[in-house]
Amino acid sequence: MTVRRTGSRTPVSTGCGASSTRGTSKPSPRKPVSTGCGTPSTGGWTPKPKVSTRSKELLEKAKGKDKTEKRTVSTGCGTSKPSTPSKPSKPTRTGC
Amino acid sequence: MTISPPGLRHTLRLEADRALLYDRVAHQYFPLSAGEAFLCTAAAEVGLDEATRMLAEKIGEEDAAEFRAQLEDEGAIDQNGFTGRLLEQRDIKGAYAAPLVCHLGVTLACNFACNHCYSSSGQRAKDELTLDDIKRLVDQLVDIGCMKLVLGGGEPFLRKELPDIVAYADSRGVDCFVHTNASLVRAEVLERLAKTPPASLAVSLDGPDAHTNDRVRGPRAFDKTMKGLEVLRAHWPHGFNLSVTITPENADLTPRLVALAKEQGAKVLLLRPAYPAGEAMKDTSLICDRETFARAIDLARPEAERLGVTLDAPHPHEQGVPDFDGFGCVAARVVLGVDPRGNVTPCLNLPGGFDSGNIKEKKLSDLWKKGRGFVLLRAQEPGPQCGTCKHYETCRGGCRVRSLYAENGLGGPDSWCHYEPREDVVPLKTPKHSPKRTKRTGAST
Ligand code: SF4
Ligand code: SF4
Repeated sequence: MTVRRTGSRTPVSTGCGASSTRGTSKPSPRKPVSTGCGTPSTGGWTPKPKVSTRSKELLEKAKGKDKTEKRTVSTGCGTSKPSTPSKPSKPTRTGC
Repeated sequence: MTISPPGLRHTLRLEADRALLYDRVAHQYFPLSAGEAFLCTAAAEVGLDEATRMLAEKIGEEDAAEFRAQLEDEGAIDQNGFTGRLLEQRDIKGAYAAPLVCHLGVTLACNFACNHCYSSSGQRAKDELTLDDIKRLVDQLVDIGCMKLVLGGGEPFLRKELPDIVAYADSRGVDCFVHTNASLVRAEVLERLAKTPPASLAVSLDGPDAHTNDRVRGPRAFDKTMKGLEVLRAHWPHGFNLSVTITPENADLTPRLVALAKEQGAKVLLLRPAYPAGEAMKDTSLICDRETFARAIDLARPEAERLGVTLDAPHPHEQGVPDFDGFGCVAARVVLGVDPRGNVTPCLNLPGGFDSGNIKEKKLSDLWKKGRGFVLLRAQEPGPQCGTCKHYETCRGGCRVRSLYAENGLGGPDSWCHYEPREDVVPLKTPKHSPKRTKRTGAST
């Protein structure tokens, strides 16, 4: 497939599923240590952002580019497009 | 191409061991690597820059940057995270968590009477799915992340609501692929359809001339389809494909079919074999064996190259064995079929014994997971030949329809089999893979 540059596309929200199906980052249970006068924070302390368990699992499995190749998924007969994708990353097998 | 409404271009399906990205521009699912899927999910949680940094720590900066660039280029991620729809799904053993493609017969009505029609169409059935039923089906497809809907029949253009079906699916982010005999396409209906053009329009034709074509498709079918193609060229700027069912009668004529595709302005010429299903069971001389199909493609290729016609024809020798991501036959693993009455089956070519329930009464996702025919196909054990074959892991016995027709049972082998014994077994002396021309006993259900 030729990947189009879609820089002008209006960004859309992360959509349903993105936030609701994965756990939210929990605030740190630790209490900040008082450091006395002179160091009050203006914006409060922000915990280091954490990723969900699902993301963590994916990160664990992540491998470099040479080890994973993006390719099309064959979906059997009936779904050929009028024009073949210009950048098939693997020949489409449609032949059931 | 405008994807409307915005935000429906991508659907990311996360299963336990894989991530699939459906892209409506390519009309394809793409398996994503774990690293890419991580960027999609984590960008929404910690921001894209932080997600990229985390990934770089694991796989190196260069690869992480490449993954990010690719996804950004596709419009799948931006600073706010994944731009599409994300679904987390539980795995099913031996199948995708949900189908990738749904084949829907929109009506049993047909103005042709093809001798190989898998659905034995002709008269409209009284209890066909209503437009609302089909909309509910589309809604369910969206819910489970099945983004490809193939519309066949019967003749879909005999259903006046065809443009409404396509428009509704489009509005929900589902791409439609319409299969028609083109004899009924008119400027007015094309104008309605063009508001949300389907991903493809495939026109069925079974011969390069009236004599060959009409023997299979009925009197004057060739002329009617040619007229339809004329209308398409004048009123349908989105292009069309020609789709040919290969039988022993037209197999040697594929060079002329290629020339016809060129002359008619088809974008792709699809060649598919006639399956032992539906009407073809009444005239089994139409059923295509492996060598006939191979010959049809071998003959078509040089002409296609000479004329610059794109062929979509999976060569049975080169393909070796069906290879659908290790699933073999796609029925119950990648695709499902819904007949015009709403009966759900793993494959519309399979006999009725595999019907698993009706979408008027049951949820599609339940039928996919637990429907009788689906469970039966997934649970199949290899027969003696497939069990000793080194292709079993990817082939799993091949086409169930052909295997049943050859009376080899659900455990295979497909009559198109390419048996090669595994190194650790004593090879079978006489691989049983020739189709028998005996009466089929049907599904062992
Ligand atoms: S014996 Fe034939 S049908 Fe069975 S797995 Fe091997 S190649 Fe496939
Ligand atoms: S049974 Fe045959 S026709 Fe049906 S999905 Fe499987 S391979 Fe394709």
